[in-house]
Amino acid sequence: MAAFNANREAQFGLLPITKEERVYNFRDASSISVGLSIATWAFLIGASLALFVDFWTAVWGTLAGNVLTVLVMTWMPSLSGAKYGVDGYTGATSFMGTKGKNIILVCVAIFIVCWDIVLSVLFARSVANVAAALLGKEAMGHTFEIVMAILCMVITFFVVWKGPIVIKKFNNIVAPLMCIVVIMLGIILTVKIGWGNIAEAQPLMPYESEWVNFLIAVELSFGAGLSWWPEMGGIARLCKTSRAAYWSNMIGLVLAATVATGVGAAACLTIGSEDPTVWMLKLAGVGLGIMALIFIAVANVTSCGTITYTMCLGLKGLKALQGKSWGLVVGVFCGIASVALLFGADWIYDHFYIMLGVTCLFYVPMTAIASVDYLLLRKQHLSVRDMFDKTSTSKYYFWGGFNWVAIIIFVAAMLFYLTIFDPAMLVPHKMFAYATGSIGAGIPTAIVYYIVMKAFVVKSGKGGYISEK
Amino acid sequence: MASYEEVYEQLQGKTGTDPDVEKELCRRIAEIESTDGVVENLKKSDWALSWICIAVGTFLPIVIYAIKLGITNI
Repeated sequence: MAAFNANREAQFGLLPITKEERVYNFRDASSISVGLSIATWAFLIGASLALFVDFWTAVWGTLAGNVLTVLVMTWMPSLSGAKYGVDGYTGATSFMGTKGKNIILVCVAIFIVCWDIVLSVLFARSVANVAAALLGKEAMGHTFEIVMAILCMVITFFVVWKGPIVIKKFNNIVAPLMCIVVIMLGIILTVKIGWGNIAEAQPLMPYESEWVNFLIAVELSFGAGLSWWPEMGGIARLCKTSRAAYWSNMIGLVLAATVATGVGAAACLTIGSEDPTVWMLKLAGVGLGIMALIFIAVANVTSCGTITYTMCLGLKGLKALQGKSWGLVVGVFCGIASVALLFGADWIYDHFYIMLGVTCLFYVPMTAIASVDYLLLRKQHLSVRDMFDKTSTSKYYFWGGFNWVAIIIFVAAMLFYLTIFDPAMLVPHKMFAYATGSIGAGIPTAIVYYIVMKAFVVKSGKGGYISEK
Repeated sequence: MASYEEVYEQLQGKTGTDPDVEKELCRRIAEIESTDGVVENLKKSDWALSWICIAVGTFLPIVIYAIKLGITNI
C-alpha cells in the first residue's frame, strides 16, 4: 500500500489547506483568472451579445454584468475558501446542509460537463481549422472534430490528474499568450475594419426596444460572471491571502473578460460569424490566424483543466467517491464528459447563449442565499469540523442533512426568476425592463432568506448560527 | 483554542474517510480553528472599494443607458 501523503491528499482531495501549503500569490491567482476568462468562451459570449446590441453597448453591458456578479458571487466561496482552506462545495454545507450540498454538486456537475463540451468543441474546431489551412482543404470533417474534442478531454484528464501545480504552470504561460492574442486581434480588427465601422455595426437579431436589448446584454453578462462559482472555492483555498483570492477575480473575470468579450462582439458584428475559430482565420489570415488558433487550442485545455479540477475536488467529497483514487474520479468525470460530447456537442455549442441564461436561473438564488448566510447570518465564521462531520451531530445537519428553508427559497426564487425572464428562449417578460432577471430575483431572495432564517432557524438553534437572544 | 485530541474525539468515525486521512483532517482542523481561519478577512477598505466598483462599474452604466435610451418595454 502506498504511503499516506498529506500534501497530496490536500491538493487532490478534501483536506483543508493550511497556510504553508498555499501556492498561489496575487499574481498566480490573477494569471489563473485571466487564463480562465480570456479563453475562447469570452469570444462566444461576445458573439451572443452581438445578437442584441452594438459594440459599445456590448462592452458596457459586459462590464456592468461582470463587476456586480463576480464580486457578489465570490463573497462566499472565495472568502470562506481562502479563510478555511475548503472548496466551495464543502463550504456549501453551511447553508445547504451536510446532504443538501450534494444538490449543488450534481447541478454544478451538469453545468461543468456542458462547459467542458463547449471548450472541447472549440479546441477541436481550432485544430481542425489549423489542419485544413495547412493541408489546403476547405474543412476537416465532423469525425475529425469529434476525435479532436475527445483528445481535448484526454489531455484535460492528464493535466487535472497532475494537479494544481501543473495547472498553475500552464496558466502562467497561457495567460500572457492569450493577452497577446486578444490585443493582436483587436489591432487587426481596428486596422482591417476600422473603429468607425465597428462602432456603427448593427446587432444581428435585436428586439425593438434598445433598453431591453441592453438589459439582455447585462443579463447574459450576469450569467457569464456567475458561471465562475464552481472554480472560486477551489482556487481560493490555495491562495496565500484573502485579497489574492478576491481581487484577482477583478483582473481576470472582469477586466480581461470584458476586453476579450468586446473583441468577440466586434468580430461577430463586423464579420458576421459567431464562431471564433472561423472568424480568426478570416480576420488574421492564414499565418497569424493559425498562430492564434494554436494558442486558443492550448488555452481551452487550460480552462478545461481548471474547471475540471475544482469539480473533481467537489466530487471527491461525495461519500461514494471518498475512498477512490484521484485518477479514478478525474477519469470517470472526463469519461462522462466525453460520452456527452459524442451525443450533444454541436447542440450545446450552437445554443451557447441558452447556457448563460440558465446559469443565471441557478446561480442567482444560490449566490443570494450563500452571501446572506455567510456574511450576515454567520458573520464570516464557519465551523470547519462541522463541515466535515457527515452525521447528525454536525451543526450543519439541519433537518435530515438538508436546510429545507434554503432549498424551498432556492426553488421559489428559480420559479420567480422565470416570471421575469425565460432563459431558454431569451424572452424577457414585463418586469425585466425594470429590474433584469438576476437583480429582480436576487434581491428578493436575499431579503426573504434573511428574514425567514432570522425568524425561524437562528432562534431555534438549528444550523449553528450565533443567536443574539 | 481547539486541540487535536478534542477535534479527533468529536469527529472520529464521522467523516467517512480512512483512519489515516481522518487523523490528518483533524490535525488540520485543529490548526485552522486555533486561529479561526488560515488568512485574515478582508479589511473595511476592501469592502468600501468593492461597493465603489459595483456603483461605478455596474449601476452607473445602467443609469446612463436608462437616461440615454429611456426605459421601454419590448
